[in-house]
Order: sequence, then C-alpha cells, then structure tokens
Amino acid sequence: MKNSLRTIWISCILQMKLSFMRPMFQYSIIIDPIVFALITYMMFKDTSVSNFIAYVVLGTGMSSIWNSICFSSAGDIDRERAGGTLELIVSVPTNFKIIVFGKILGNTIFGSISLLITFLFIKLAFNAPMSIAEPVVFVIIFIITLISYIALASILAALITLSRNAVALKNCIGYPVIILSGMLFPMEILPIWTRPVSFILSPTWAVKLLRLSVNGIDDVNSFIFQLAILVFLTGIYYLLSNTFYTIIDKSIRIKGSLGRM
Amino acid sequence: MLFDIIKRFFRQSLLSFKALFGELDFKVYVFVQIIDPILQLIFFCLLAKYVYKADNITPWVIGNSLLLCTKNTIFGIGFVLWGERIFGTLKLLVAAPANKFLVFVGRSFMHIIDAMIKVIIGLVTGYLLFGVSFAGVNLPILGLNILIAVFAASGFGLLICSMGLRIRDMNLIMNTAATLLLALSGANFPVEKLPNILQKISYILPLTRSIEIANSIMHGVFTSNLYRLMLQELFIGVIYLSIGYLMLQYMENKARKAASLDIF
Repeated sequence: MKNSLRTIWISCILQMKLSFMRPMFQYSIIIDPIVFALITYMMFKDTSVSNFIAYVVLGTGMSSIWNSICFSSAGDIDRERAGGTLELIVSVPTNFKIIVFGKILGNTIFGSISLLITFLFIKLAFNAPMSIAEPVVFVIIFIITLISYIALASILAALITLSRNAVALKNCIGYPVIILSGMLFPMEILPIWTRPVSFILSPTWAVKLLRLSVNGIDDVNSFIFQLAILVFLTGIYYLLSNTFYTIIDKSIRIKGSLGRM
Repeated sequence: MLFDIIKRFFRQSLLSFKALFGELDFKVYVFVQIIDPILQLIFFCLLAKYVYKADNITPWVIGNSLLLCTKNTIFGIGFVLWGERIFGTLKLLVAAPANKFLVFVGRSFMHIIDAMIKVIIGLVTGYLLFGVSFAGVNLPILGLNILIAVFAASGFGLLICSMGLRIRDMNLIMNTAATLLLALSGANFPVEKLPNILQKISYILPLTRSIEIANSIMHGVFTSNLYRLMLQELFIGVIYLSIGYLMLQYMENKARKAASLDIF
C-alpha cells in the first residue's frame, strides 16, 4: 500500500512537471479556458439566463478540465508509445494502472486550475459578481467530480492503450461529453434519444450538483439522489477501468504488440 | 515552360496532400478533420439556441461553418514547415534551388480546396440538423465569399506556417490562432460586444468580414457595401500572404544563420 501510494505520488509529480513543459498543455489549462470564457461570457451577457455567471464559470471550467484530461491523459499513453517507453512502464514490477493513475491525477490537479483561471478572468476582466450559495458543499462536490473525472480518464487511457487510434479518440471525445453532459446548456434542450447517454456520463450529474450548490439547494432529497448516482457511476467507472487493465495485461502478453504504432 | 511549372505545381499539391494520408489513415482524417469540426459547430449552435432562445440559428450555423476552414488554413497550412522539420526533410527543402514561396503555396493549394469542402459540409449540417434554409440565397455570391474567406484565412495560415522554421512546438501557436478566430470573428456573438481594443483586432483578422457578408447574403441582403467588404477581406488575405512571404524569408535567414533548422 505504502509503495503504491509512493508510486502514485512520484508518477503524479513527474507528470505535472512533464505536462507543464508541453506548450499544448499550457494552452489547454491557460489560453483555452480564458478564450472560451470570453466567448461564453459574451454570449450569455445581456440575455435572460439567470445567474449566467454560474453557467459561464462552471461550464467553461468543467469543459476545460475535461479537455485537458482528454488531451493529456489520453495522449500520454500515445506519447509513451511513440517514445518507445510504453513497454518499459508496462513491464516494470509496479502495476501499470497505478502508474497511469498517478499520471492522470497529476493532469487532473493541473487541469482543475483552469476552473480557477476562468473564475479569475471573469472576475478581473468583467468585474462580474459570482456567489456560491453552499461553498462547503461546492468544494466537496468538486472533489468528488475530480475523482469521477480521474475514473473516466482511466477508462480513456486504457482504451488508448488497446487502440492505435489515439489521435482520433482524443480529438473526438471532447465535444460529445461537453454537449451530452450539459456543461454549458441544460441537456434538456437535446433530443430525448440522447438522454440515456447523458445519464451514464458522470459529468452530467457532477455539473448538475455543482450548479445546485452554486444556486442553492431547494430539494435536499433530490440533491442526495443525484449525488448517489454520481458516486455509483464513479464506482462503475473504476470497476470498468480495472477490468480493462486486466484485459490489457493479458492481451499484450499474448500479442506482444504494445509498442506497435 | 509555363505549362511545366503549372503541372509541377499541381503535382506537388496533390503529392503533399496525399502524404498527409500517408501519415494519417483515412479513419483518423474523418474523425479529426470532419467529425470533430462538425461537433464544434453543433456545440456552438446549441449554445446559441439555448442562450438566445432562438428558433432560427442561421447566423451561428453560417459563422461556425466558415470557421471550419481553420482546420485546414491554420492547422493544415501551419503544419507544412513544421511537418518537414519533424520528418527531417526541412534542410533538403531549404537547400533545394526551387522557389520556396511557390513550394509552400503549392502545398497549401489542396488545403484551400479541402477547406472549402469543410465549409460546405458545415452548411449542409446546418441544413440537416438545424433547418437552415437556402431558399432565395444567391449561391454563386455565397460561394465567392467562401472562396475569399478561405483565401484570407490561408494567408494567415502561411504567416503562421513561416514560424515553423524557428518555433519548436507549433501546436500552441496554431491552437491559439484558431481559438482567437473562434472568439473574435463574430461567429458566435456580435463583434460590437467586444471591448474596443478587441474589436480593432477582430477587424484585422481574416473571416470577420466574410462572416458578416455571409449573414447578409443568407438574409437576402446584397448591397454595394458587401462588395466593399469582400474587397477588404481579399486585401487582408493579400496582406497576410505578403507578410507570410517576408516572414518566410526572414525566418529562413535566421534559421540558416543559427543553423537551427533541425533543432527541436
């Protein structure tokens, strides 16, 4: 246990250092959130949407965290493969999924800075007021959200380890999740047939809960129910990613094709 | 002689574009170059539909369709020199006696055609998903406007491309340029909403005028003012192309002197 935690910590710190040196990651966590916040603020400004700052800051921040996870956690496996180091990190005595978990944790910690950047930009550039009705609940939900994002990113990383289409996957997974989980507009405006997909995405519930903690919780039972779904989905994601890593372990030993581009 | 040059130009354009498929398989191309841009268009159209409570979202479909050209004009053209550096062929290209400017314009040619196809795909998506109507729209003029928009954005792309001779990682530059166009071109909100300084920047960027013209054409409005805007957009394209050419010369000289062509 102690060794695993140490590996996660070292992998996380190393990943944060490596990621921040990549200009594309700097773009994902600094430039993209600022420009995206500018677009959404200008679109929401002077409209009838109430408490739109919550939509702008939360929506933009959550989208940016998601994008940074897509481009980094998903891309990292591909980079290891291209650099010829994927075989090494898979074959070391430490479990591969623990190393990947540390990497994703590092990216998520950095990614979450984009929410702060979005908030600061909106506050400083437009002096827009934003109040959080339930700050303690907000922080707790935000931490659960990050845990859930890590689980989702673990699945993505596993899929990319198995697939050779990392570029396609990481480029195409961003917008569908942002659209379907209602990060910037309620998912209710989407066609009904998309709902089942929205419901199995944990960001859908995370965004709903964060929005409730910003606007105020009127119905506590409904809030607890949505929180239970978020926790349940996160648990399912961890089970799924665990299964995927077991499949990966078997598959790469049989095929020996891990490093093949 | 002239026929030979033209033939070489088109052969090189086609080869360069086919080389892209040598690196990316067709499936990846479809996902990255077609599906992802369409998802971006759908996202902004849905956002506009929600924010403005609008049933007719034609302006957002038009603006975001025109922005789809950036996948080629910024990323495609911007990648030309950087790609040569990655594949280790940049020094051969620079040392070759061929006219570099013509080489790069040739490599951009297929991207211009591809960019126009992407804009059309965006418009068709708008028609199929959001019921955008083209009834009574002057399609030849709309087509001309798309061509001018893509030309101006390609000039901008060439300017970015020239930086590939000196800059280590072009991803940051290309993504920032594309994101700025998304924010400042008036595709998603009126340029007038921006602070003064950003409005000025907006009008020196490509696509801002083209989006304004396309929206007027879609509303059946066509005045002499639109011809003036078209000429201005064309002029912006020429300016960017000229600056791109000068930058190319400058960056090439700097890279030769610093012997940094192949340095990562």
